[in-house]
Amino acid sequence: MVRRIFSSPLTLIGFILVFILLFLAAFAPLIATYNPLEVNFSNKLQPPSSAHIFGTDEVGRDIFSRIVYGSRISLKVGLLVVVISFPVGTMLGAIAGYFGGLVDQIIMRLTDIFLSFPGIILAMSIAAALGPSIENVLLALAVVWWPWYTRIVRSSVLSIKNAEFIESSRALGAHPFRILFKDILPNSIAPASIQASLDLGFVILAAAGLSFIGLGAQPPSPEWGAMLSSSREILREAWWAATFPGLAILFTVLGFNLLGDGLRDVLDPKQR
Amino acid sequence: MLLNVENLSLSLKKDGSYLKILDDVSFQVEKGETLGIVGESGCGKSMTALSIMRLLPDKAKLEGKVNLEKKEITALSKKQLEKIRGNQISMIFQDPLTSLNPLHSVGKQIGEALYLHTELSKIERKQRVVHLLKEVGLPRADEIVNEYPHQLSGGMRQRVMIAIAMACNPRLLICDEPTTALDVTVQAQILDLMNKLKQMNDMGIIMITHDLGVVAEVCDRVIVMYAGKVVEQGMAEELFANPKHPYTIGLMQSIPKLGERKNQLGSIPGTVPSPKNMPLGCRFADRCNKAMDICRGKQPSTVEVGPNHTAACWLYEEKGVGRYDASRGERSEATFHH
Repeated sequence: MVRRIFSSPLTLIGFILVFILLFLAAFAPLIATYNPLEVNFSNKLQPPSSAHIFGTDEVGRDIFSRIVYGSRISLKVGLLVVVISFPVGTMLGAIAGYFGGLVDQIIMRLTDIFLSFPGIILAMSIAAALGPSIENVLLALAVVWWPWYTRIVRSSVLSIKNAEFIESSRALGAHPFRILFKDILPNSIAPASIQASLDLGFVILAAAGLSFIGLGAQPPSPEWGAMLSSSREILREAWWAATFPGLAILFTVLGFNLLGDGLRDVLDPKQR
Repeated sequence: MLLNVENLSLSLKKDGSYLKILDDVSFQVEKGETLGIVGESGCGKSMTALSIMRLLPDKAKLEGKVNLEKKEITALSKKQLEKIRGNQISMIFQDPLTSLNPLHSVGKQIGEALYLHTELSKIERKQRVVHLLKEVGLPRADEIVNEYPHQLSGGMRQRVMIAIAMACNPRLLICDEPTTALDVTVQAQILDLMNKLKQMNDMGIIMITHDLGVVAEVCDRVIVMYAGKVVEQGMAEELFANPKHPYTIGLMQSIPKLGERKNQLGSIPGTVPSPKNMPLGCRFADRCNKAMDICRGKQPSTVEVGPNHTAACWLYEEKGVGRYDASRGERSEATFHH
């Protein structure tokens, strides 16, 4: 299985990118060369050099160190949003698909309502209402993210619930909930978990976007979106201040996408 | 008597109205007996099996009585049913390729029945599973326990299904076309195995099939169903030697016989009537080459046509009794009402 995942070079690249991100986040204090919050006006807007490999920003902070610490924030947001919304969405989707009828109607109309708003706008309004902070962004994104899993899981439950082995489980005298958890969910969770691995990248992107427009992480925090935002006005004098956080976002999202695609090729039975 | 099905009728809701899928089906199964249910696709044979197990959609309307030994299954609650399913009545499905959960090992799936219905400990369950695998004739039982369905052949998987069904020593085993998906040599092995297990456990078997060869091989008694009704029933040998109902005769003519060359096999013209507009009279009348006027006007009752052999056909109705008589219109009119 591991062999199959890495038989594609793109998946391998994705894995390496994600691995680098995890490594940076795990060992940030060891890797970062400076304190990410330390202000040093005499050193401001230094271009990349051997002392500051990504240069310094408008108050003289080392951009490399800030990006390294920023990986922790992005990873935290990405993981927590998926960890919160995935089980919620999966459970609701499984219940809707398996029991059908009125329960299905109620759950699916609710997800329709959530899906009828552009996710980022809904998240914006929730984050704005709660007040700008990275925790509220996390909450807002979790609230808008679960309906996707609900849809995916429901449709795969529908396709699996009439399978003969479900019928034989019923003929064996298993209780409906036992069938749902032991037979149906394990067989229908693969597509949703692939989506979740792709979503890690998108959530990080959305969180950076919200921070960029000022609803997420607030200034001294080395959040990538916030870094982009504060350096966009000095783009012409100091290209490095915006470019490197932008590249960090790019490679992170790219890494999760490539990895997710590779996982789909291996896990999704329909593609075999 | 092991199983007694009395006047079983089943209606399923479709597009807002109820369609009668089974109409007044009655039969019995004795201990140690194999009963064959034959008929073409859609005649209700599988639905009969699912009705006995009460594995029906929520909106199904079931009338009549099903008794297993002294227990009335049709009166049980959902909880009580779960205790019976897989324990006293087991079922084997048609396609062993899709009847096993691809994500669980064979041992785990057999153990599931034991987990649900017995108090055995984990170790005892494992021992029993290996024992069952040996009993159904699987080689290397100790290894197969830990293997997954995709690692096994079709015949082996059907043996695993049988092991699951036999796990709790059921009183009654319902097999819904158990050999249709298997090739002929494996078919024979599986049927032999079922016969062996039946004798060992003194249980009854209901064998649902459209393969008359299978019926001839394993069944003691046969019921023939057509469009939701039992049209003929009798001992297998008697029924094969002496089919009475025109539908049964048609079925027999449609099987090729060895050593006999025909350009064309017998076939029955027409199609099964849809449950939406069942004819008033005999349901086979439109396809029957012996149909009489009365067949279209009134449903035939079940009459004795031989020792232990009944058929529902006007051809065998006693002369004078219930015979349609055009000059006595009121009689037939009166019976139209039910």
